[in-house]
Amino acid sequence: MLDTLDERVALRRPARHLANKVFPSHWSFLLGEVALFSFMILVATGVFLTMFYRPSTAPVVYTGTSAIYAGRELPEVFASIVRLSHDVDGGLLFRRIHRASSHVFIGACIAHLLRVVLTGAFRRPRELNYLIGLTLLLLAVGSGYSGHNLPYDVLAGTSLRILYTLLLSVPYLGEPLALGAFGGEFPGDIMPRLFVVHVLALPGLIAGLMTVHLLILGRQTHTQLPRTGIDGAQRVVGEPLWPWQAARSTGLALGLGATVALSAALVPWSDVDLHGPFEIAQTTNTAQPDWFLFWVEGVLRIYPPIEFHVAGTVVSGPLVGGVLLPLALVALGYAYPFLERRRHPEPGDHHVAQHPLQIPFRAGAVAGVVVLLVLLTLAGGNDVIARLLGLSTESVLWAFRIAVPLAPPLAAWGAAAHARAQGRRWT
Amino acid sequence: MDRTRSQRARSLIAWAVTVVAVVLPWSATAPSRAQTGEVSAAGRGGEQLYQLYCATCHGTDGAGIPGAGVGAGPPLRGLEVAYVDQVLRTGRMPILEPSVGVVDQPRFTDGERAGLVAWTSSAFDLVGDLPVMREGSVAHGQELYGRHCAACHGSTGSGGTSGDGVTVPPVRGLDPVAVFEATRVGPFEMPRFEAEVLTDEQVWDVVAFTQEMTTLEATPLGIREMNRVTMTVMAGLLLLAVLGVVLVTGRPVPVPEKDD
Amino acid sequence: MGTSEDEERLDILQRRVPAPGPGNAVVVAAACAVTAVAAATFAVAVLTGASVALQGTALAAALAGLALAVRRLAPAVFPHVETAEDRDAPEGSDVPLSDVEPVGRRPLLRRVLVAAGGVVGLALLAPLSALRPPRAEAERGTGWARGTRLVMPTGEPIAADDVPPGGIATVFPSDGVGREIAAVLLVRLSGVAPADPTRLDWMVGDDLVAYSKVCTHAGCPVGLFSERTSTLFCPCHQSSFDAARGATPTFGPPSRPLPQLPLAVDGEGYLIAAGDFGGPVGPAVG
Repeated sequence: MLDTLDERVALRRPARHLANKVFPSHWSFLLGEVALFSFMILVATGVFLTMFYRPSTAPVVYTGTSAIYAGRELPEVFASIVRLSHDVDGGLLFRRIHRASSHVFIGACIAHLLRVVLTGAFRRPRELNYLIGLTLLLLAVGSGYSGHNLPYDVLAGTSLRILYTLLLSVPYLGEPLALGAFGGEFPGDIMPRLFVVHVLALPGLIAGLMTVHLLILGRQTHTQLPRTGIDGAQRVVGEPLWPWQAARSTGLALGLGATVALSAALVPWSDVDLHGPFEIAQTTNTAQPDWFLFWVEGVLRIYPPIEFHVAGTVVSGPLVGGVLLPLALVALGYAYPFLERRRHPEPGDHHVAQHPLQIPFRAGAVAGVVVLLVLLTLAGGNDVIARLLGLSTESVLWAFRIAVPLAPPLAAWGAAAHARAQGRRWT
Repeated sequence: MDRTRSQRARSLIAWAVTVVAVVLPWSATAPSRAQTGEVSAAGRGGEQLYQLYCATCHGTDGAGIPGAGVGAGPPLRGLEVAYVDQVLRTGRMPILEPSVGVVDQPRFTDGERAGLVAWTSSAFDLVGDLPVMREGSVAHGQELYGRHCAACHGSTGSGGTSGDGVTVPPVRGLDPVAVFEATRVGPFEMPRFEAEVLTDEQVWDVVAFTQEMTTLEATPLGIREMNRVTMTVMAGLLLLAVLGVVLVTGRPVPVPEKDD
Repeated sequence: MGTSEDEERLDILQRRVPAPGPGNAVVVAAACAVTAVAAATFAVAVLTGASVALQGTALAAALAGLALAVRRLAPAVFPHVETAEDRDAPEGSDVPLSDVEPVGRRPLLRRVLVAAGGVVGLALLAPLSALRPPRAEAERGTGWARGTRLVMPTGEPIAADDVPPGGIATVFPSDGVGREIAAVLLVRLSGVAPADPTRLDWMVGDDLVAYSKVCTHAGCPVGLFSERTSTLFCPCHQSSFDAARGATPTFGPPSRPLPQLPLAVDGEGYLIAAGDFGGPVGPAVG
């Protein structure tokens, strides 16, 4: 059969070239593949789910088998989710696998980003691929946010209201931005638009950028862990794509699928039977976004009650905490390779991975950002922490208000100092 | 080489299982269990129980002990009988340890409670009637619960906080009559819902839904619907499990060795 | 990419050939058997509507079995090799991108063309204006005016006595049920006397007061009421407001009180608004 193809498409030589591509074998190099395979699982399960999902909020009567919703009038979008969960073969399983894979996708992108940054794999000539990769992470977060709001349950409605507020808070442009995005006053016409964004626009962009990301990686070849006897700058050593990397990747993809499928059997990832459909002016206690946005929730909770008018607009907590701070972090992410290069100008191409503590500036920057995000994430659950520790919510709130500005710079300084102390190892 | 790898995989699984086992009780947000549980000794009369467990704070004459903190308590005279029944059913009263504000296991048997309520009702002229349990519609209950109750008690009935330091108790699977009574009476910080806002039939619907919260099909790990904090913990465990798969996959392949 | 076969040849540094004999065969066979059974179980479970736990576990077992089989079969079939590859260096700017050079330069015309392309690009953004809401919808105020009746979410009007002491109710304007920005919380205070800055003349009796339900921090519905302290609480970011003191923020991130709605009673005894809110509704607009 391959001969038949080759006679028509002449792919023997390119196939051999591809099959002989070398991949260094270390587990930390597999994190990007986890992101890729979880994206494939998302697309496959997503196509199935899209067949049954209806993005309209018009009321319909649910006539399926769920006891909680039998005969009730529900927004069509929520009714389609109940139907998927109770009346479609494999529907609930695929809903849960889809949701679990989204957690893995975003987590893998973050872990992969950390590996790339800590080993210096974003340095020349790989800056472009780093920027593309960071964009992929942001698109993944956007997909995760739009996706977990598609069921239009009470948590989704609350989350979308916060988004509406954040858009409104933008100086001067707030009202047209929010009304334009939502197609009217909240909730407006947001569900069909969110649907298009989640099902078409973002996956298309992600797939396209992933392809470019992989093509550039293939062209530039992989970074290499330092090895005695091999000049990592000239050669990359490892296993060939065929058969060994292919076997490893296949095993990883199947293992990932198995883990996600088992988790769907054990954890009700996306079940919404109790949460119920979103109703205007209705919310629930313990309402938070998904884990990767907990940190924004944390900023909104601990930001002090300060709002001031300046130059004909308002600077409010949601603006500073929910819009400006995230934008600043994203900008820092994009700028980082160039910031580090100014601090540590090292001309020429770099193909050998570094130890995470090799560059004190880098160790400090990563430690500072990680500590900030972890603290803010914890602050997003400050009421749960207060309850668990038997403390008052107010004292926990103040603890975070003090820790969040102080701890990240301290952590950055400490990590950089530790890295410098270890510095003799690499001279 | 093989042994080290499988040992590592096993230890990872063991670790993950241990963490799950530790986290699960929290994720289920079970109310804390009192060490004493039910008060023992059958057949003690209502008056006896009152003098033993209630008089210290509410006074032997039900007029209350003025002040705040331990040893003080509001008067019971003229209170609604449903209020007294409710706090006894949920174990909120009597307070045997200093931890107020946690819905606990009921301290008395059904018979003892009934006797205590009957005696208190006649001794202190409590008003109103005790409700009689009725079946309700789970479907209507979800709609009403979401509209009136979820804001405080959470859409999955797991409770939360309300204002600085006020704990909202979980209601899933709570004694159904206690739920009805609490809705009508509005004990402690809870607002009251009278018939014009929620009819009797509607309250029994809400009760039916709170029971459904614990009879809903659970996963083999005993997890039902999660709030986002629980989901974050689970996502963390899932990512750890995937990391385990990555570590195992990243090991060198097991080549059946040549016999030299 | 060269044409000689030698350039495509893999540079092998190390090669381990598997030993002959059963080796991994038993494991592979067992894994494949588990995979087949599990996959069949999964298919049957889905088709017959069996529990999700069974479906998921069967699928997981099938995929895990296949993963194990692949991992154990590969070293029995192929020699394990460690290889090296040279990195391609960029070739430098004297290598042309194309072999067709332009003969006429025409820089001005080229720039005009690019500019025209830019104009087309900008013009194609015009349809984005379709995302805006229709003009009529954009100017509707808060939905409350003098005489607007308060109604429950079901549409029924509400009388002052319908809310018991210590009770709350969510209401909308009669011509705007379900309009998020117009949601109002009726509160009958109990045990705490209302005081400044609550507008006492906007209350009915000395304990029934109405505030906007839209939190002035980030817009979530302020749905929790703690009767003993008369505190209104928003669960999203723990904003607290004192219902007896004009819904002034007492804890958390909000910096403005919930605006109060003036109440009155109409001829039939039902609650109506006596005017619009006393302050801006909801979170700050930039």
